[in-house]
Amino acid sequence: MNNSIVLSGNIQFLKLGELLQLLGANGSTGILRIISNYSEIPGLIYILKGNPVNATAGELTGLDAVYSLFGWVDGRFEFSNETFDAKHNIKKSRMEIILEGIRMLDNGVTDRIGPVTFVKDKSKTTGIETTIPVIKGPLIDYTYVVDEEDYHDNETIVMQGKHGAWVWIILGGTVEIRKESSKGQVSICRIGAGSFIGSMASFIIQGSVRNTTAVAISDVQLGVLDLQRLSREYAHLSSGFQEIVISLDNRLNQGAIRIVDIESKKTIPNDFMAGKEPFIKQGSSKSEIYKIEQGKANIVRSENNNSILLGRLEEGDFIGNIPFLNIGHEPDSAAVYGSEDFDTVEISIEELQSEYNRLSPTLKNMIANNANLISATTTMACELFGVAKRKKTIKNK
Amino acid sequence: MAVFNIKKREIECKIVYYGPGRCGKTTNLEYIFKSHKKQIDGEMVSINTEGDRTLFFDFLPLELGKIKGCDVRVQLFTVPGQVQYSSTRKLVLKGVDGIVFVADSMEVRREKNMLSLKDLQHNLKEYNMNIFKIPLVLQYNKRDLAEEGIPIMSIEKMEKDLNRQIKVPSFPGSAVKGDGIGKSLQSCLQLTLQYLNKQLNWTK
Repeated sequence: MNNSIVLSGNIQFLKLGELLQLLGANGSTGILRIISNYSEIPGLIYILKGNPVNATAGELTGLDAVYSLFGWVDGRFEFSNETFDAKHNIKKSRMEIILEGIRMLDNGVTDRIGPVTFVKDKSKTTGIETTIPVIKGPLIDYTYVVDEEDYHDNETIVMQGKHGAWVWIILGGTVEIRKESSKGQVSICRIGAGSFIGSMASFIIQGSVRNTTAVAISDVQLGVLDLQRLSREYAHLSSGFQEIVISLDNRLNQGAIRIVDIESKKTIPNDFMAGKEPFIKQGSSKSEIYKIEQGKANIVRSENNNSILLGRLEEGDFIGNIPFLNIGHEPDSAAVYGSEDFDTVEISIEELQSEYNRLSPTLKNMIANNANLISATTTMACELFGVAKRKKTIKNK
Repeated sequence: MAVFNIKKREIECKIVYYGPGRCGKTTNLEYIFKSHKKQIDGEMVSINTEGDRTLFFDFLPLELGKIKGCDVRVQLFTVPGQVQYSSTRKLVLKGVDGIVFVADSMEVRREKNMLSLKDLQHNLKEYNMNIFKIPLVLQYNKRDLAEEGIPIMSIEKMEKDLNRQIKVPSFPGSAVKGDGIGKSLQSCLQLTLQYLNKQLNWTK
């Protein structure tokens, strides 16, 4: 670590606009580095007495680079207090840059660089425009890639219901994840470079059954992962951590099933919910994590006056706040309702956190990717739910 | 919350002009910029957003003098009204110290005014601020339109619509002519400083 770093943190917490205001008010001189998992080279902004004078981001330099950095919404920043010799090619005032930068972000001129990008898509089944998220992963750790494979556009990579334990990482191209339903295939989400194909359940059950179908929707390059090495690593984890990994997988699968349910207009009774207080309230600041010992739990998101069931968890699953992951569920964005015989036991967060910190980058990426997928399928399910409801009201009128 | 710049010995506070689209926020600021040239160091930053403009400049209200040996610098902002500019609105409203709510006197804009005020309350709430506590003044803009025969609402009606609950100072205005502009800003500044004094326990 460089000793001259005087300020560092999470860019999601302190956004670039606010950061530039802060450094500006302080009249600081130095280099602001923005580090994103989704870019190999950090973005740099050179700041002289509080004013940005030059910047680089990928191939861009100067003002264009600063504007593009507003799109780096996920990552870290570091400010080092140092003198530099960079050309002064930004003449605009600080506030003008900030306002223009966020305007371009709001207008969609600047691309958001993060785990999820959204593609506008006219859904064939509904005719109402929905957005299909494309989930990307962070940079690829090639030490785990043992072989490369190419798939052509429209080729099926894995098929739901078939046995198989290979796990791939996408090196290039886009893959669509689909699930079979009574009314044909339903698209769940799209994944791009850095995302994984194959569930983490592959580590425990050799030859497990595929939950979904993965189809290449462009020419795709895949890296076959060293499954033995990953399985070995997985086997060395504590049993508690292993269970969390599997539970996350289950939750993702539940999300995919919900999308199919909503698409095929199947309604699930919200039993054991009516009139009951939730075990975890949506928006509460509860930071504990629990394992379900007995009974069932419904994960429910309330949005625009709708209560949307996101999944049903059972004995052995985990609920609550997983500190190192953002799955977009409870406690911030969903509530948990327990059944009559519901019982839980609290799990120590510290141990989980320290175990997570010791994971290899690839396993860490896999888990984080899984969390992003959960969050994206949830968004998708809620959006579809809203669309279905709107259509229903139109019909009724 | 105002920012104390220790290096420059300045207190920086932020006043935001809020209101429905095309109600005259930008015209308000443009008028202030023109008429108070001497008190403004630096340029007016104008960002074109679809159908509206976001303005920003620094303003030094000379008549207020120093507080505890610090100069007071006021940053004046407008917010873009359109829904899509949520990041911009959020950044602009963050740490706001005082608000001038510009309402449109035209009959046809009656509902827009109320919606915008509600939106303000909602946005403030996200920052844990309360519309009943934050320094706020209302300006009933476009009074001059009456002369041109365009139907406008009476002051009483607007008071009832917008000011029944919040009960803040209100001023008729005409941003185009410059009437009432200075008054509403001054009143907002006064309230803001009183509020800061109270918050910081600087008894006069």
